[in-house]
Amino acid sequence: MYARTIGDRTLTFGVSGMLWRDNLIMYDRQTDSWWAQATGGAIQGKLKGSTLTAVPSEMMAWKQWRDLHPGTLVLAPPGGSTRGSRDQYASYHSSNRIGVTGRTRFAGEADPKARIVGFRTPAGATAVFLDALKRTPVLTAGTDAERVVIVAVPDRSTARAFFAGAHEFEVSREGDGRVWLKDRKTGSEWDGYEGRATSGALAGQRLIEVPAYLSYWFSWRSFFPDSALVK
Amino acid sequence: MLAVMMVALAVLSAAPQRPWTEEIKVDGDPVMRGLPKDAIPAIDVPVFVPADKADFVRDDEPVIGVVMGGEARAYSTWLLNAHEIVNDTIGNRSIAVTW
Repeated sequence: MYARTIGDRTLTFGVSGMLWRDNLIMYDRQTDSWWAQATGGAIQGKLKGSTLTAVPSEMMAWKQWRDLHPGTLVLAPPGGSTRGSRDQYASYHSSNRIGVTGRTRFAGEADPKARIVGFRTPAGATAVFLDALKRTPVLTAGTDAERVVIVAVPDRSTARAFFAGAHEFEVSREGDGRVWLKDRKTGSEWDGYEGRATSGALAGQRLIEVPAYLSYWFSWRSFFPDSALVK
Repeated sequence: MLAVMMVALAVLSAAPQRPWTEEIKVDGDPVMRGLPKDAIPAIDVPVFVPADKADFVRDDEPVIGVVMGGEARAYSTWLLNAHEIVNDTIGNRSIAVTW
């Protein structure tokens, strides 16, 4: 989820029909610039180089959301909100389930009501327990082939996730809850909220964000039962 | 999202899957076109109903939820899968909801 307003301009987005680095490319109707859906960054066009501000969002079963927010509104299918309109849509839900191959999974107990931050990558789904991030605000998940660094947001209510690539990150410093990372190889310092190197040899480099959603373990597990856990 | 594009591509082409075509390279990697612009229609004018009127969402299906300015809104992932993007405004904040 992104804020559509950049500076004094509010953009509306459409689906371009194109992919880049396995990313869906959005376009804005105002300038026809191309935007990578997973990072919110404009990769082409008049607004190339701009980045949309990510807005934290949650994911859970409809029933759980309704119980938590009884007055909630819910998006209606365009063209009608009857039960029959659901049949007009192909079932894309199952195609969003990513297969899991050769991942390490943790067995054992986890509190079903625990808050987790969930994300999906080509390697599969992962659930990071928020309690783990209260102990240390930076965690790493995945394998050498696909490493993801997870960084708690300043108030620790959720976290952002980024593909770490070959970088090995550790905490550099913290201030007002904000976290700066350091990569082991060059010692460059990175803003943990933006995933961007702010000093050192790699200054200016940006990590690719993995969209991550605050959820409940029992919710996330029901949709992605093969999730790896980070506790 | 790649899987969703492939399914949409198969649904929208009458014949066997049309090939992806390379448009240009950006930062060394190709931008590939699989569908015409807007073949997957984003929602530009979202309409909402209260929870008790929502007979089209199942209890156990995932929704993306947000609370802004005291107002709670949910977007079911099956609608997000079909439309990819919802351009919405809550209070005075304009947001793009994607999944």
